[in-house]
Amino acid sequence: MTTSSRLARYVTPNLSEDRVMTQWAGSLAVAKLRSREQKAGLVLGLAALCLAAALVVLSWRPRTEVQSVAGAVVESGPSEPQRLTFPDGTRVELAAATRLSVVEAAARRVRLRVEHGGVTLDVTPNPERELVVEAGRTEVVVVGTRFRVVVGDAAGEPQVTVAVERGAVRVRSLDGGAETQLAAGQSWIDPHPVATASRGAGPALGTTPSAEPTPSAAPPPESSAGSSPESPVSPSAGPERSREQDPKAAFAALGTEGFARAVASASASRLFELYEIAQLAGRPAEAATALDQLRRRFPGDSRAGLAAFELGRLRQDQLGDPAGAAEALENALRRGGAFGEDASARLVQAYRALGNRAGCERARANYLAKYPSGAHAEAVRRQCRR
Amino acid sequence: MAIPVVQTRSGAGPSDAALVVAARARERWAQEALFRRHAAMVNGLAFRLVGRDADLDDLVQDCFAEAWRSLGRLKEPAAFSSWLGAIVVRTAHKLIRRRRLLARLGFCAQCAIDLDELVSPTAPADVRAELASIYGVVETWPAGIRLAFLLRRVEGLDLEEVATLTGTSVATVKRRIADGERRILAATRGTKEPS
Repeated sequence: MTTSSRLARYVTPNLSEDRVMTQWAGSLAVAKLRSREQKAGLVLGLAALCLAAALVVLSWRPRTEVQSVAGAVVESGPSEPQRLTFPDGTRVELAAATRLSVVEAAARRVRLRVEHGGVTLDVTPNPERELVVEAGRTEVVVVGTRFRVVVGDAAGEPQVTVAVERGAVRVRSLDGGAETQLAAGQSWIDPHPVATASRGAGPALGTTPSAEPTPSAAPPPESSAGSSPESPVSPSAGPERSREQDPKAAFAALGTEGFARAVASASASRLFELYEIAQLAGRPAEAATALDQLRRRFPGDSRAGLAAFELGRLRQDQLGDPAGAAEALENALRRGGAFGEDASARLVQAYRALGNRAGCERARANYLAKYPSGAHAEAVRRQCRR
Repeated sequence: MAIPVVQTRSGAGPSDAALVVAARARERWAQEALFRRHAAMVNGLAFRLVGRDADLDDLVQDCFAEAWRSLGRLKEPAAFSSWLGAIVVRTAHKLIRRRRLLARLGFCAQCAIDLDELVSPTAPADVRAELASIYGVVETWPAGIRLAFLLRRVEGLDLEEVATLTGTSVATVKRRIADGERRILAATRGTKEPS
């Protein structure tokens, strides 16, 4: 295919050898990553775009309504988990055999429904909008957190389970039951059969009035589909599927040098993908580089705060770099918004690891002033002691 | 990354068809040779369709990634170039739709086309003026009209080629190009464009 147009001759991009080779390596890596989506078929397709539109509304300061996406459905394949990442860093992970529908997508509220299967949401908080997830007779109002909703389908097992990994959610019954706040590590179980529960369905339709929720401090149960939120490769995956989805293969396609070149020229979205490739491939140093570039080169991007926080976490937990962690966490806190509480608590730990007592005490005082009864308050109070 | 020498006695190298067959057999050198051969075409076409350098690398990577994944479904290996061109058009279509969605929601402040970045400084004044009249308005157009119009007016393709690349009929292509012409005219006269 060639063009001989006079106009086209004057509209050509600058193509250096480095740029072309980065594109080459990137195409191989992206092909490996995308193979999972290809296997999921067209299920996501337009529905994913609609869900993306709904989540665009919840990702940023709302200005308009997006009614047309209501009714959109996203499904994962029978043995195929699916993960969507949105511009503010919010992640929606569908376990295998999950059906998620968009009930409402308005400027100040987005309502999703888990029809069956399990969904893990890692939501960036936004005070301008409310995100509600419903399942069976239960609705979960998201405060800004990571949590999982599982709709069971086997006889004798709980029908709806909500498990909070980080932050907090408010859980209530759709037919007017009491509201309960769940914190990290707590779970909530509604034993009622999902089949008899639908929006607006009450006792008149033959449903049993909702029992009080059952908060539990037990560890959150795993999704019935068995997929780990952090690992898109199901343990039950066959060799072919594992190979195609293996982020190590995607990283190998780039190579260390190719990865560095890709990071140097990547867009904000691609940097986030590169971070995920490296992280899932067990390359935290390279993952940190991608995050560092994202926050520095795209400071106005909605993911920059999340990148700074995640960079701090990586440096602290995996790279043994408390000084770097403190710098990134301070940066995340200056940006405000997402993960403020976690970043504040981690900052205390970072200064403590550095032996910086003044910094530790200042960070501790800041945390306790902002989150006196926060999830980490007890641990933070114990820090900075001689 | 070493590039293997892929040359025949004539100096032209293997045909696209031969490279496609080898690439299907997971020969990495053949894949890379195809990439090398068509990278300039894909970059140029993608750049002119989306109008922004910032989107180019992601778009080109996505196009080739799609090509590698679906190479097995290419019925005529000799037609690799046109087939790849159609992938570029489809991928650009998705990107443009996404940008329009973001723009409608008010979240695409950086989506505008920068004519200085787009058009070569060596372009004659009349070419620059024509490109300005086109790229100054296409960002707000529906993706189908924009792509058909740019493929015809900027790429200089004939109607059948545009129809093949966009996966539509010649009649649809004609209608979309005419719609684009009306929009350009309306913009030139300062009247409201059709929505």
